[in-house]
Amino acid sequence: MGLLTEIFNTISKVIVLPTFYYMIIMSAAPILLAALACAIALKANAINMGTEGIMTISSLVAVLVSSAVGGSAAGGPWLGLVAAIIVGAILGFLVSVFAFRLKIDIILVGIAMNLIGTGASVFLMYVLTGDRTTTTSLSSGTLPQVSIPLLKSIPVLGEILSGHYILTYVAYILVFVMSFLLFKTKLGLRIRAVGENEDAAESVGISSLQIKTIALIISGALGGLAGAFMSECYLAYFSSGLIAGRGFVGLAACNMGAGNPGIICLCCLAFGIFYAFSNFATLSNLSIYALNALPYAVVLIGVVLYSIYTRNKELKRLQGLESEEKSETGSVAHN
Amino acid sequence: MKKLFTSVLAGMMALSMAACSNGGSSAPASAAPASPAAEGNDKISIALCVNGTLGDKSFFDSGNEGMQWIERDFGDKAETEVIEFSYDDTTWQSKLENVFMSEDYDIIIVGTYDMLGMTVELTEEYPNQKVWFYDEQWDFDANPRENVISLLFKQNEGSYVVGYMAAMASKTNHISFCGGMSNTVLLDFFAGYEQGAKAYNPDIVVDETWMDSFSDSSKGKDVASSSYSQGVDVVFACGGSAGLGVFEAALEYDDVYVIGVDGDQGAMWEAAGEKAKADKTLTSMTKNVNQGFYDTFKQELDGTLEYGKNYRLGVNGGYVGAAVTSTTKAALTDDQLKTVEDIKAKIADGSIDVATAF
Repeated sequence: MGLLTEIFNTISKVIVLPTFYYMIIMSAAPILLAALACAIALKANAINMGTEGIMTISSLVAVLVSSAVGGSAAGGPWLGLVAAIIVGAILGFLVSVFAFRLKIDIILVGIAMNLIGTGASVFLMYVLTGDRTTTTSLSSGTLPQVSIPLLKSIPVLGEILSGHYILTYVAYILVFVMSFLLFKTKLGLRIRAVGENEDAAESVGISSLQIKTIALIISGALGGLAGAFMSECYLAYFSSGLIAGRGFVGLAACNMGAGNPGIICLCCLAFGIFYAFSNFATLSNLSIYALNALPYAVVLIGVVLYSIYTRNKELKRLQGLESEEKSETGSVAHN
Repeated sequence: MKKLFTSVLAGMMALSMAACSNGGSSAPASAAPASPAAEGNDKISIALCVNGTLGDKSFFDSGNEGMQWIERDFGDKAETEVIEFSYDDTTWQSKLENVFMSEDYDIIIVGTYDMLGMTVELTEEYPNQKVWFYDEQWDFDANPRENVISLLFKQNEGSYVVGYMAAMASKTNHISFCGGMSNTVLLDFFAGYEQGAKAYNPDIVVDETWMDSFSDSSKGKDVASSSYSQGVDVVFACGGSAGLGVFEAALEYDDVYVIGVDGDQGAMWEAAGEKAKADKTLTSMTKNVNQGFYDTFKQELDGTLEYGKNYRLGVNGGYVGAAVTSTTKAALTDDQLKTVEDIKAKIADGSIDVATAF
């Protein structure tokens, strides 16, 4: 009982704070980018497990390029962003080369990418900057925060929705862009066709190899964007523990949404709610360990519920087919 | 396609080679010569085992600096080596065993909570190997060792001082502690911090928050943001590189301060050209690992070091303290700074009894 009142008190204290909602939107954004990266690959049936690694490397690249150019004053963060996207795309392309041309299991390639991401980023950081844990000695700067004209003057809403980093807005806009790309364009149709049934797609003259490669390159570029978000918006530097599993949470969100951008966005926001809550609630007497596990537990429960739901749906569909067949055979017998 | 792939591969190889050669020339001089103490060499050889990597700009780097001081002043009597274990904790046990097994070192320095269990075992296996164990309590009643000394920094005393200063600087009478993971050393920080703050202002609210990480800076930023947005105006960032995220959060709020830890982080930001962060750094609770190692080595040379005992290094002797930077001087008045010095003196002579988590 005491625990329940404590939880209730904490919730009622937290939900009146505008910064709580600001943090939800902010913390969901990099996961959303990672999830969209996984989504386009998933739709082409080329699962990109390596998003975490791609994010790690590209977040370092963003910082290095930005500081090499001269930091914020010289527009460094923008160049860093471009470099991160390019590097991400190259890494996505490499995944496709290893998986489809050299015929290595794509899951293994993804795992390798994650391992390389952790190792190579620290190695590169040390070789190029002499730092071993963080690049705080480089002044790489951040991308600008955007205050939206009219919106920012609305009391509470302005505080929540205005003043985010530019990539936060880009992340949410990309949900619509991705929906459009997947469901309204020729490329999207081909990606989905290849993902649903490769042989059928091949039979009408679509090169599945080409489509999967394109999907992975786009996936890598989005991963690069997510990486740049972490080192140029969320924080102003790279550190070895920076990505902290966001690529994997994105992968989970993508699977929960079955590659569907709208649902993915909702999943990421749900994660953001629990993540932000766990940060705000550390002031309460609730167990810090339970709080920190909360967002991840929610993701896990979500994935399980979703898979039960899809299984039931599939079962119902099969039962429907069966009864249809029965009634058909019945009617035949009747005749 | 194949051609492109080959040329990409070749390009990557060339790049990685260039990177390697660059690394060779810029490797820090701190990696002391790996020559083992040869037979007949009467220099005292010391190995500092770092269960992480150098470059944390605080704790481990300070220990490394202590080794450099020993080499600088007693180069004819001692040689030191710093061995980095990396952050992969699954390898620490075997790496530490290798150091013990090599029998190349007269003194092995190892520390922190994570290394305690394996060090207890290894010191029993190698009863003639001198070991300095630092930054965690060694229970000599349960594990009596004639070959071990334990160096404990009284972080509670330093934290008392910075807590006192935080209470002086706070305008909202609401401050917080942002720890890495909840272990005894970190709780010791908090015990002193809270007591110090309440000593200045009994009505002040001191929140206890945890990041549950020593490496995830984004978590540090988010936890600190949640504190600042709820009216906290001084946060004691106490958790390795995760704590660096607290400084990022402070940049987004007006009239708030961060208290650094282990090294003088205000001076560090100043040196890195990050003026904005230096201006947010009220003070830092310094843990002078360098001084601790250096002075302990002097006692070893004099023969006054008693093995089998805990050494507690506190404000007395300057092993822990509070850094004063230009930000500190701007935030606190001269009278207040004088009071802080009085507090330090009172802790040193024992007239203030600081609470501890041990």
